[in-house]
Amino acid sequence: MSLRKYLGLLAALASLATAPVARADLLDQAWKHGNEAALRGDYASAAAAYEQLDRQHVVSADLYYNLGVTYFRQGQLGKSIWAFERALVVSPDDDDARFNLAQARKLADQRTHDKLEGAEREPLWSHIVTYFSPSTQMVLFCALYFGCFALLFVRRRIAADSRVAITAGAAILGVGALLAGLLLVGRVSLDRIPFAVVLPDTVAVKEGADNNFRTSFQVHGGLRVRILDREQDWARIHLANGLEGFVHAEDVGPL
Amino acid sequence: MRAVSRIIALATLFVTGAAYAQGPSFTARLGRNPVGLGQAFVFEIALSTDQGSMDDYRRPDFRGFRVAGEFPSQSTQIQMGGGGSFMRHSYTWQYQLIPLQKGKLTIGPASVRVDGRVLNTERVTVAVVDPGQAPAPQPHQRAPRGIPGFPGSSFFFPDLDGDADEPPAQTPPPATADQGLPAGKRNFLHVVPSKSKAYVGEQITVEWLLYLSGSQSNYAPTKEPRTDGFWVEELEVPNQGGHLSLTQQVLDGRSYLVGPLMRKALFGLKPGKLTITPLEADISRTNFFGATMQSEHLKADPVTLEILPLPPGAPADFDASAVGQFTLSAEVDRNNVQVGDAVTLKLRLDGRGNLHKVGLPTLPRLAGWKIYDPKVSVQITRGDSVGGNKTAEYLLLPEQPGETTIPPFSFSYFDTQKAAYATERTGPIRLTVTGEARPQSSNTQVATTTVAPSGSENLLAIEVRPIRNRPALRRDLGAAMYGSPFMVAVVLVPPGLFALVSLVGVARMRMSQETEGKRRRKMRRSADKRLRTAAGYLQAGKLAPSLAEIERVLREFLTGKIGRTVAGMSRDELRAALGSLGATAGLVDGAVAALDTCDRARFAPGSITAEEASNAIDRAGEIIEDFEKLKAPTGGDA
Repeated sequence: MSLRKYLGLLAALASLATAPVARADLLDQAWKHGNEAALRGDYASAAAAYEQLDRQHVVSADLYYNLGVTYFRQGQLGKSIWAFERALVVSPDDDDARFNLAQARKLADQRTHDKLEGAEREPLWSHIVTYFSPSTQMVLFCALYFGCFALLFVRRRIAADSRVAITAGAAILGVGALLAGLLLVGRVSLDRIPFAVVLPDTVAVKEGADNNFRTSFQVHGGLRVRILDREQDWARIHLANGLEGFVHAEDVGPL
Repeated sequence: MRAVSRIIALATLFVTGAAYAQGPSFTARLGRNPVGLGQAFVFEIALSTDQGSMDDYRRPDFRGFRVAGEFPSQSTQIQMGGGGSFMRHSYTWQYQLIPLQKGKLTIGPASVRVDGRVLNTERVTVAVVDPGQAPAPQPHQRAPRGIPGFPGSSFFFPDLDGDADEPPAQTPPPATADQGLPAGKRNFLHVVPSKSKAYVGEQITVEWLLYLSGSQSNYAPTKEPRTDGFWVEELEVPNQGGHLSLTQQVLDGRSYLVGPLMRKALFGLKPGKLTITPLEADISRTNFFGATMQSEHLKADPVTLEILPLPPGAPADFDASAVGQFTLSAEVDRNNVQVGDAVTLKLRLDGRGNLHKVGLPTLPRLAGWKIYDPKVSVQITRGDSVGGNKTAEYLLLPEQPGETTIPPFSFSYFDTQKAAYATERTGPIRLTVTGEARPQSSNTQVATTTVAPSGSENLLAIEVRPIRNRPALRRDLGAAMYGSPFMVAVVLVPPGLFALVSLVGVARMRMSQETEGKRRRKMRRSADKRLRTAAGYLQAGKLAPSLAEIERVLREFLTGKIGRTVAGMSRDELRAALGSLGATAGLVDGAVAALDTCDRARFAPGSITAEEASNAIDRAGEIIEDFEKLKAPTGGDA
């Protein structure tokens, strides 16, 4: 390989190594800008900065939390509730997000409360699955799964008389990984029909995916719904009491 | 009765007027006027009609001009919605003209026949002046461009992108719309950046267009483009009641329905080459019952944009996000107030640029005034470029009488049109306060919380906990991994690796078995060779060397089989060792007898005849063959 090729390869490797760092710098810059704007009361600019980060597919409970606060301060309760709900999905133990979500819901209820007659309760398995954050589930699964296979590799290398203990350990970790995997499968299954939150203060739910269809009913900002399907710019939503209809896709924020 | 007649007559007039408004229009337009002698300019004839057919188009008389290029185009606007569809056809003939003489030249009327009716354009007069006197064309006054994305439009009409007399562009050159436009595909996504190079903080508008060769029922984006490294503002996309707004275009002889899907204003955050990943979408056709008949996955090309660093020489107060064109103004709602009466100071920044990110100048402390936190609001207009205004409203409360001057505000920015730094300044604002002084507040800068009088109820409204101001953004990598391709890799890699290691182990075992076989074959070949040597000695009449060779063959072979040297063994030990290989007693006795014969020949050479020596060679060969047939012992056979 010639010197030029070596240099080219080195440059490519260097760019690969520095690209995530450069991106992290940009993200931190936007994060600081958002915080500074929020601290001086410029909530519109703060929300815009946080939304930029959100568009970069950054998953962060802190980001969603701050976004929720800035939306709340601008009076956008639906979006605020959505953001706090997202923070709680990522970090179910986040007390601040839970408190703020309760406050935002309280204020939203003072405006309009959507009372769902005959609402279905979510099944127990759904509660179990969402009790843990996706992060916890992933880390738990990875640890048990990799641990199990690590012991299987070790088992191949050691003498036959020591293999019983290693096999037992691998089996225990394997069962644990299976249970953690089931939790993950449950979450993936839940996400196939994702939960969402109504964002504007009032949304007319149509009978079909077009503005010219009849309005079936109205829902209000902060209501939790599920998204069954998407048709172009429209989302087919399902309420806890079984009602269904179509809204503009941008009017519901998926969790 | 007369009143009814009037109403009917008025209604008829109204309907006739409306119908006339929807009739065909046939117009001629100049790209600019006046024009310089010998300088190219655009002249455009446009026909817009509801009727699909037109014929007998006759171009104007261009006497006094040279026609450097002629480009006809056609498009159809289809608006669809629940209330039905509406179609309008547009025909355009663009001519690139070069005036050949100075003075006032007249372009004659063009004519066309639409639905049996002949339409004419009006005569157009062009003032042709010396090249130096002709004004440079203003970007916003240029003639409309050719069909977006139509290859060749800028080739035929170079003055649409810049006249010969236009000063050299100071901003980076724009990208052409037809870059990378796939030809021949039935359906495709096309991405069009407004320019390929821009300064940090300068807007680049990127538009994604859907080209369809036939009507489709559904369109659904499956993967949004990633715009890492950009500050993004979504721009409005024209649509018809939630449906795509499609126009008809002809490309390479094929007719397409073209609709804009997405428009984004991107502001580069740091210099370098940044890539926007492709937009991906599914289109499908459904039958009468809603079942999918045909679907297709479309993917646009990625776009790489070059972000240039801002030039050196920025003013001291320059904020790196202040890039664009801005004007700054400051005003108060009153200049004369009483002590305790509030004054509102409104600081407003208007212009085009990333207003969300731009910071406004701050108000310094004013002696004798209480200043409340400003209320900042941003109003954004999202046309072709992002603009609007950002306003900070300060509430000022005078605590002492006297004269105060609010010092001028200044705002520095990088003007992308002039490619230079500029500074906007407001004038000083004088305030006169009358009345009696109040006790001064200890904190004159921030005092937003009013203290409730003693004994009254302090009502705390529903509030939320404040934001988290961590120095760095804490990301949840586990949650980011969930749902990503990495998750699949996590599940597949360990068992895959384990299976691979197991396969490698099996393969190595097999390879080692082959090595044992090879070793045995090699040993056999060596023995055969030595036996042939012994036979050679015998033929030469050398009995002692022949039997010594046979003894060496047997010892080496048996040493190899047993795994330890045979030379120092007693005969009983040798028998036991050979017996452990599974050899029969006859075979063991034969081997021991052959070794004894060789020993005898060594110590008493005359006691062995040539025939016995020949038999000994044959016997050694048989012994070796018989031992070869025995199953290899487990372990210890190195």
